[in-house]
Amino acid sequence: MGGDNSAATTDMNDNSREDRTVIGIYHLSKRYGDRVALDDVSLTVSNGEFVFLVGPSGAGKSTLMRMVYMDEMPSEGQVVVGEFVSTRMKRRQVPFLRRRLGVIFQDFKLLEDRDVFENVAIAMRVTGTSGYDLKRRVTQVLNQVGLYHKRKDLPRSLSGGEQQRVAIARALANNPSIILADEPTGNLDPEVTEEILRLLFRINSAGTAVLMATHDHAMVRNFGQRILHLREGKLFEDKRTGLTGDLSDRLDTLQRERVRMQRIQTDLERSRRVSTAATTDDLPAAAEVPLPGLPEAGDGEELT
Amino acid sequence: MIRKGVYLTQEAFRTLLRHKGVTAISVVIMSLSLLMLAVFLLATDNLLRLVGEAHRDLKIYVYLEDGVSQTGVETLHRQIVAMDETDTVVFVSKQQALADFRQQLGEETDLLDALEANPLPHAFWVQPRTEHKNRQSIAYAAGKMLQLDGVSEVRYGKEFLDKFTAIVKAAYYVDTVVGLIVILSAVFIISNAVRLTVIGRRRSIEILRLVGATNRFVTMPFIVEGAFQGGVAAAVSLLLLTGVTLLSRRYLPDLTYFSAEKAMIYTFTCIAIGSVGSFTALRRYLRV
Repeated sequence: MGGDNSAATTDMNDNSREDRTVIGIYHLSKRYGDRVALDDVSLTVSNGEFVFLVGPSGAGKSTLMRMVYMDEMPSEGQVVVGEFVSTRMKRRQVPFLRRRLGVIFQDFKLLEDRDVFENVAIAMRVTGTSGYDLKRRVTQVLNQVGLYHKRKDLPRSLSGGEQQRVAIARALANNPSIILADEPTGNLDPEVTEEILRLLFRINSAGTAVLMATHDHAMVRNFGQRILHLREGKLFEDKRTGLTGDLSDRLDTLQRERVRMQRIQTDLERSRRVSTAATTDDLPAAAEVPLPGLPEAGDGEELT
Repeated sequence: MIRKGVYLTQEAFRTLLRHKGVTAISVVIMSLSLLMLAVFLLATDNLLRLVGEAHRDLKIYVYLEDGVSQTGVETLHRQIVAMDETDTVVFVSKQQALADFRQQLGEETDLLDALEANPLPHAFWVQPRTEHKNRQSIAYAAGKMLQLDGVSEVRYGKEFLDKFTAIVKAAYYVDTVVGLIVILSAVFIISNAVRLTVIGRRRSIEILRLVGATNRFVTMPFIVEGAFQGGVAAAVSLLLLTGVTLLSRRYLPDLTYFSAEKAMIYTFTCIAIGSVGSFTALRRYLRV
């Protein structure tokens, strides 16, 4: 599956190949003691699909994700990822399953003491790849997420969005057939969220299936091609919205709208500042110059 | 495979360097607890040596009656040599004994000049066999010798031997108890020091597992690190022990240091403790 991906990146978009199942979940239940986290959930995700998994917190989204990358094993039922079948595999094989998946989290999960390059490279090192192959592929995926120029930076010197892009690059390193994203934008502000979404859409349009858990309804409403609704551990709804085509286009439209709104807001702010600066003479000279887009003084103080 | 091994070893040393502080602290902790262990081992080593030496000096002195003939002496010699318990038997004639005595007295020899006859008896100095150098065997052999014709007295330092046996017994007992405590606390302290470094890197372990690292990939660097830290700590503790030994020689001039062989065994044991400690501390974080 991983091997044929270089070819797949070009023509995975057409519907003829979408019937290939990359994740199969059959009558999956998970109980922790008396608590039922998942109750008889069945679904499949096909190659190249972009699927949103929504539901309130505690609905079992993360549990479901963990079952797919087999951090936990089902109490009942079966999870099939490629040739890996949860009921028929040994725990020793789990690492090999994970090399076929890309996993992204809300908290990025980067190695704090390694630079960006190493953070991506580690996903390949565990497979035994090294030398030229490793360097070439890491360079490739870092370019794909637009962070090659920051390859020598440590994660803590990056913004949240950049850190998540590093995590995405790492997830892509081994040419996965599916990316699991568990609230990948949960820690990010709206602008950066959009940037990450755009990246995920682009990756998806190149043929990689994406299963993304989120509780952000706006996001789902605007971009959801297929929406899985979890509620209290049950699959409440599996809806295909009919929203098709390149999702990035929709994002562009939305962004144009947002930029327009922002400009109006900035203009408003500027006019307000000019009027206040004109009335207070005792302010220091620097503060009198109105700088558009600058956070208000109060905000700045909160940040420091 | 080899390249992976090289990478993992490099990784181990890179991590050691990257976490200089934690590495230094755990090496210091390990060194000190190993020093405690090393002091104990050295004390035991010396105790065993002293006991060995004291045993080597154990002798039975057989004094003969006056007027035993030359043939009588030879017969006795044969009889004593024939006993199971005896190893070497040396005859010390009364003349030789007097000469020795004279030498020991040194300047006071004129005291002896007052003597008209030699009051010292002929004697055999009997060295018991190693396996019979204990209280019961010696007392038994001494009894048998006393039965022999022409023997007037047999001495083997009964009081000394009784006391010595009791002291050695007590020393072994104390040594075992102290040894258990010291070894257990050293292992406890070391495994906790190692656990600290593992806990500090729990997140890294989790991330490695998420991207599909096998258990071996995760553990290898830790084992190499543990071994390295154990080795360094062993070297440091031996160095400290040298200092301790040199200082103690003021009061215990006979104190000996480990032989090179024992020092090597000690170092390798510490390396093993370090790597096994790392591995056991890790195991709970490797659920899969």
